[in-house]
Amino acid sequence: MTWLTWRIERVKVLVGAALVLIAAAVLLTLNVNGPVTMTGARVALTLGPPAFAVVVAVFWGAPLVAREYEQRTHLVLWSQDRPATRWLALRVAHLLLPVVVLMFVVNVVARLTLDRMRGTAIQAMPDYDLWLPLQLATVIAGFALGVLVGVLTRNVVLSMGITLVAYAALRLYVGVIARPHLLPPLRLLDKVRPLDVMFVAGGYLDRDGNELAASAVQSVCVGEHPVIAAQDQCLVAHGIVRSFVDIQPASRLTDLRLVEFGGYAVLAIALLAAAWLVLRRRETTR
Amino acid sequence: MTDGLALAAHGLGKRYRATWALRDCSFELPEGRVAALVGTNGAGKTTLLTMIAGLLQPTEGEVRLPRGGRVAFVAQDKPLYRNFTPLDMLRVGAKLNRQWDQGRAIDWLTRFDVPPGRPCGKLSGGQQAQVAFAVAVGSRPSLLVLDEPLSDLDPLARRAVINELLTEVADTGMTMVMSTHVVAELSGVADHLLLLADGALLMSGDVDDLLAEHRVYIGPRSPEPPVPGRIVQASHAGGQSTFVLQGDAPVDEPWTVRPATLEEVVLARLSAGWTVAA
Repeated sequence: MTWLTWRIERVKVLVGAALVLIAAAVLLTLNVNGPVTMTGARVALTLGPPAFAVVVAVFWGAPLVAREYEQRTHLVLWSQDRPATRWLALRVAHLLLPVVVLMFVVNVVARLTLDRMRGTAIQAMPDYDLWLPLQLATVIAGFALGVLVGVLTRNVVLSMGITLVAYAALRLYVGVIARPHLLPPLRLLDKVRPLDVMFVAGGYLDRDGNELAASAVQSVCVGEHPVIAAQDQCLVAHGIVRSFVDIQPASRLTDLRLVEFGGYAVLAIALLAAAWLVLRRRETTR
Repeated sequence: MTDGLALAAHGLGKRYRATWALRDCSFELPEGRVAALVGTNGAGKTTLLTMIAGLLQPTEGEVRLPRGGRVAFVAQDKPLYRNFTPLDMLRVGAKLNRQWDQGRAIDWLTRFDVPPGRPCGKLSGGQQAQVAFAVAVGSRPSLLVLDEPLSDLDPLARRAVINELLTEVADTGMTMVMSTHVVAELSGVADHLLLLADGALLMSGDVDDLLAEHRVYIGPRSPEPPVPGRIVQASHAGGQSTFVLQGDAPVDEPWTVRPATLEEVVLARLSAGWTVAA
């Protein structure tokens, strides 16, 4: 980071670093044996890294260009010899350094905490999100989204709001809805849902292989027939011959993560390129 | 681009959605000139200057600088980082420019008694303007572009700033373009005039030539001027008529003739609003 970037962004960087260090100190000193602290640690591990990414996107990315426009200091910065596009590239590169370092710290703290939780008898939690490349790609994509929104709106508060909503929606959509479908799922027939897999969908099949939603079938057969044997007869009577479970087996987690990482990485590059192109179109280049 | 030119605009235009802020603007500015860009509010002055400064992409046409030409721009509101000190702002200028003359920039701050270590947000409006000028001067531009440079200054400081700027022009051979809507400030300062109205360039030319070709005729009330010539402006008050004419024909009593002032020519042209080939 050069003097100018540090002079302008130092408050953000210092506050971000302080937040990460405080969270790290709390998590690493937490006694994870009790059920209450265990739940707390789970919540922190689930929400902590995404929250850091949101802070980076909203407070670091969105104001990066928007604040210069709002204070009109872009007129000072971009009327010097260094063109606006080069300024943007340098400023983004300078800020990505602390983003990567802090995300690395977040990742290490999360992994240490997870290891301590696994050492206890209570069931731990999956560590899908804690893969460092994926975490880096998600945080950089958020930062890039903030930068582009800032370039487009030229308004700090507006860009922060849009970035918050858009990035939270993206992370929720990918994490909750899209993730199991990143690769074609594996279908198990007439089997109970195994442990340690990622569940995609489940239900029943009729003779022709058409899928029937589990909920619809169960409301007809299970509710009216308390005895399991009678339920089976009911199912057959409704033309249902098999049940199915679609899953992503544990062996595929690496591939799923790679696909998700690729998606976020491409998104980050596309967003930064778009911000660069918008600035280039707006400003004259000599 | 032709030798000896500091700046050339060819068919320059900028459209904001459906409205043209500036259209079909072409002119050439020789090196070493002090050009005044004059126009009513909303005439397109800031649009033209920000395009010259490279801060705004023209919708059509182009701005051309000589090889190696470097522009410094001071915006009307003199934006600065509020928590930066004037010395920090000079460091920004030093970092972002290929050439930098710290001595010149410091001299400017000293000349206008700007405290170098106080945050810019705590300086007066006039002092903030001086910091902006110091950054611009320190970058050693070949073309200095100033948007309403004197608007934040008191009358004494205006004269001092103008004198310092003219000294810089004389010392370094740079060219200066400054916009203003206070035409009275221009006499003895500008030697080139760019006149804008409603997004169109009314004229571009040498101030001496302009003054030489305009005369003011004053005499008894009359619908027609006493001599032939293009009427730039006619006004009638009481028993007296005044004509600003393009031409310098002699006139008999009771009419009198005198050279026009720059202010008279500018105001006459702006109010008449007719367009002349530059």
